[in-house]
Amino acid sequence: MKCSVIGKSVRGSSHIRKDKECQDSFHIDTYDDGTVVIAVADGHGSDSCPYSKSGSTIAVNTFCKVIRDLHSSYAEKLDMLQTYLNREGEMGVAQAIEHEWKRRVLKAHTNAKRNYPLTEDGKKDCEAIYMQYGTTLLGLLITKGFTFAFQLGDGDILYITDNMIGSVIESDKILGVETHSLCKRNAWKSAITAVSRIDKSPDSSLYMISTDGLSNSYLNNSEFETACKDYYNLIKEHGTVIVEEHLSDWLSDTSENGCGDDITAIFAYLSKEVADEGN
Amino acid sequence: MATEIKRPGGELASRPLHFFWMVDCSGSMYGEKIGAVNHAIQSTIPEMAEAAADNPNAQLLIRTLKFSTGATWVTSSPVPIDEFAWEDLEANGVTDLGKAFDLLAAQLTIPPMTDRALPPVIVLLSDGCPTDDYKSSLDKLKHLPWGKKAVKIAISIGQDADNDVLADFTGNKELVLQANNATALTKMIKWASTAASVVSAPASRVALSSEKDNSASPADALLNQDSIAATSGAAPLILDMNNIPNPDDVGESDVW
Repeated sequence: MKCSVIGKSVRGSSHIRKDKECQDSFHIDTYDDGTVVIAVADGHGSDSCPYSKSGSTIAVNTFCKVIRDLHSSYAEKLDMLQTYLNREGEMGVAQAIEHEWKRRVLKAHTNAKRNYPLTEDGKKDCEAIYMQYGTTLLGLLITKGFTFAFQLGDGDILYITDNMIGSVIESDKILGVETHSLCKRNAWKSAITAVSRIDKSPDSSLYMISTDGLSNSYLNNSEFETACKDYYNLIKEHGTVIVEEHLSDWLSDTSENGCGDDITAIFAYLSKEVADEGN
Repeated sequence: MATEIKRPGGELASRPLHFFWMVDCSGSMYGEKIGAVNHAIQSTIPEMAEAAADNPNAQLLIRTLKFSTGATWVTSSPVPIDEFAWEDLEANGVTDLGKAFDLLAAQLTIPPMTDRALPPVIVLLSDGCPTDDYKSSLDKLKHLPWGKKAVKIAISIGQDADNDVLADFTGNKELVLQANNATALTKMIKWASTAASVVSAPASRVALSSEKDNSASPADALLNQDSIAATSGAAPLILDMNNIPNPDDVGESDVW
């Protein structure tokens, strides 16, 4: 199976009206063995999170770094990595991501010479600093044999083939405008993970990971799934390069006619045909 | 030349924001009070429409629920703000607040509500004490997912209103706004109506509660903004509490 990956992030129409920067970030990491790691993050953007763009950038980089380290340590034994992720995904891995994100946030805060809020007894208030960088994080590891999905906060991770569409991970969406966040104490407890075997029977399939600005822009979940199937069919018909050329315009249009939020989406398209040609 | 391809389908839509006026039309509201309510809300509608027009990514939908002897919807289905016209209400009968909560609860369930909506705003106006068993109906309302998340504001009209009941509804004494004359009532209604434009802001916020608990409400956040922020790092949903009109800004002879 060959995996082609494209992704884009666009500023939401409401952010354009208010002259606010895009708070979303994404990262795509590909390894020599064909493994792909993708991550999206949605900085909260509220007044109490003024550096959430930095927070989301740190989040996607952190996810890719933690997964790369794990992948390296299990190099030739990916089945053992699968077992480890099954056992430790929601605890050990989630804790490692939270710890590394917070370490990097403090470092970035110091490097940028930003003010340190203090606690009542005059100590550095790290919790208040994390808050200023608040963000969600969704990530997906795609190896030849299995996937590992990670979600902390709102957003969607979907799997699409010719015959089906479904969530890779069922998140506990919070109604309204609130979401789980990496900035909270014990944020790892809000993380959800899922390990799944790669189904090699379809000739092609698509993994899609997006911030909640995308799904919130559709009338309902059924319309959102219609759009996701269309993305799959367009990539299948035209290829990732052509779709990538249009993706920013489509996502901007979606935000403008939808919820107005920033939108980030990454598509990882798996197909047999190119791999077969190679063989 | 780049290939022209249409954007992927799926019907797009702005996020609905349901705003409920919940008006006490019991006999004690007869005369100046109900007249002032009619006038104040009517005069607020154009400002709400103007504020909503500034945010095309939220669709502000209005409904009115009146209660006296029994409760009924004045507007049974949600009406977009730019099509909404206030129908003057009349007052007589008792104060069946519990029946009003029952009707409201039926509309805050999913469906007819969707999970992609913005938090609803409910503004309750009352000048008296409930005459029915409101408590069980209110508890039911407050346990609904959207009942918990709704921004609930009460306007206490005159000195005979039961502010404990209203605070039970809002979950926060600060969101029980006192109006002892027509001028104050107009100011309070205008302030409450601005909640719609605040809630429609799409910036996401950190969930107040830890782990996988959906129970925290925006009203809880308003009640303890500082302590919650300090203890859990949470970002409260902010209505500008400093802008609440002063209820004492009133002449002595003008008190209801």
